[in-house]
Amino acid sequence: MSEQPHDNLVAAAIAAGAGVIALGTLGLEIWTDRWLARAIGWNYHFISAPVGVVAPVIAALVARHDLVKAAPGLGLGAAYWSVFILSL
Amino acid sequence: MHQPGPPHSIDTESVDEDATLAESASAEAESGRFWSRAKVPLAIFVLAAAIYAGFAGERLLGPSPHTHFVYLANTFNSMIAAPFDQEAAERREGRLPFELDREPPHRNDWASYWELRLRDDPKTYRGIWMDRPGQGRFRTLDDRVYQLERSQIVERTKRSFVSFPPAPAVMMMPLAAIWGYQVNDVLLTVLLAALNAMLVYILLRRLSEGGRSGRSRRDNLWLTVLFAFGTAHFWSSVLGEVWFTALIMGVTCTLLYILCAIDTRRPFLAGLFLAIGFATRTPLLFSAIFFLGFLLFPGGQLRERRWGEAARKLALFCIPTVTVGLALLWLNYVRFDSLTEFGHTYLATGQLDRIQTYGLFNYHFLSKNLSALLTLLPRLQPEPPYVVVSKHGMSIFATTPALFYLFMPADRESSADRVWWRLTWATLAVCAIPALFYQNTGYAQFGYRFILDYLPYAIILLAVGRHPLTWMFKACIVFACLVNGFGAVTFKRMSQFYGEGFFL
Repeated sequence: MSEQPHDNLVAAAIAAGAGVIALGTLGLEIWTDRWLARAIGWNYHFISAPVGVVAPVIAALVARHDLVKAAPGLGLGAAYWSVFILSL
Repeated sequence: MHQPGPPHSIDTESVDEDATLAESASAEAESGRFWSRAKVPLAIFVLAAAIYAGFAGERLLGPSPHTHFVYLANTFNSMIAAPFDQEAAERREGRLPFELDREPPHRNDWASYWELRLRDDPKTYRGIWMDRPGQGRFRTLDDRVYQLERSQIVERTKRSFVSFPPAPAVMMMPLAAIWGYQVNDVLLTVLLAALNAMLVYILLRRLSEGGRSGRSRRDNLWLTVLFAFGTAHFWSSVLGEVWFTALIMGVTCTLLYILCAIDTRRPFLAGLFLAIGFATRTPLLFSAIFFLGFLLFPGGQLRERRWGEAARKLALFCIPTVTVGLALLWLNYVRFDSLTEFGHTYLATGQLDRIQTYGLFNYHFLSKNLSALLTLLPRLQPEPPYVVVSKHGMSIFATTPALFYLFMPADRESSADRVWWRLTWATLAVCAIPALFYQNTGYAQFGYRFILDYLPYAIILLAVGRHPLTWMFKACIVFACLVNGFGAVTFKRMSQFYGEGFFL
């Protein structure tokens, strides 16, 4: 990530956003007990997993320079993978 | 919460004809109550993490002395950053692909070879000294042997690598991006170990609800305690260090793999976790037969139809396993000019006599490994410290006597029961056998640590074996917790309890 503070903020926002989307998608799947990928004809579980990977990775890159800004992304990433494992 | 009752009380109509586990009524009813089902596993995670952290004690304050994976994670990060970042490019200058950015801090289990330039010879020679460092026979990576004199060498460079499979290092890359070489591998291992305890409980609950073990929640908690604190898992969890981090993460991958492989429920994820598993601990590759068994014996019967569906599941399973497998072969080739060489041959710059003589796997090692697995016992003596444990460990039946119950199962009454029993034993065996021919007993260790590669299967066998958890069974579990707790406190802390000899 760039040394520029506003770049870190953008990246942190992307990480947190990815975390929210991943967690929200997984939460929806668990809440409705339906796998969302079926909507497009795929019979696969956990379509949100790639986004769930993106969140902590980008957050970690931000954390090199600013741990506070990275915290939401890291927290949401950790929450996502906890729920993921518990729903296996 | 699950209370499945007697072993065969599951309604057989609730079992899909291609499945061996029932989708239990309680699971369906509670699918909308995610948190109510997550409470016990989460409590196990928190409690196990607290206990492991307590036994890790002062080690939690910083990285362990053997952070090979952290070195590799930093190297990966530098290689990725080098095209864009001047600092990273400087770190990689003059380095071979995947050669470590930094010189190893000691000589314990780093793979390295020499790169030589000779007088009046434009070629570069990469390899290891076969006799003594500096002159004599020099074996190159492509297995040619040259007789070299010291005076012929005009330039020599030591190239260092990590020979352990790289998945833990990949997992640590984000952490290495934050903390550099100060990643706390002890804390990470403790958290993974606590996760393992939670996953074992989830797996046992799945077996109960599916009608395969008939265990109550109390039974499953006893078996979880056995796994988490009554086996090599306990003392291996509190050390950090490359060897133990790999074993503990290997268990995590195995448990996730099993959860997805049962009845081929999630073939892609099963393949992915298996791939990460064998990119952490190579012997886990053989556990692929667990998935293949369910593919060939749906519902406990030999498959006779729906081959198209089986082919689709197999393809999904193979996508991650083949991809990661090819990546590992490529990584080996780039570093050591051999697809199958992970680098263990080059430990201690190839100066280990037993590897030079017999290679990494040989019948020669079988007798010693069998003893370490089955018969090695500590020495008891009348004077302090009263107990001395060989650094080659001790028998699995001494550290975990409850494993005797593997050989006392109840009768198996259904074909699904029989498939589970045979398939799980077969998986355990194929994971266990390679280690018996390996050049290392597991030294240094408190108990036989390679059992962690197949311990989850042993726990499944104890569960589906349906032997009642009698007071003797529970006494064995308590005894195992005390023994392994002793290991967790003393191993690598109190050297007076440990001896260098094999038979003490």
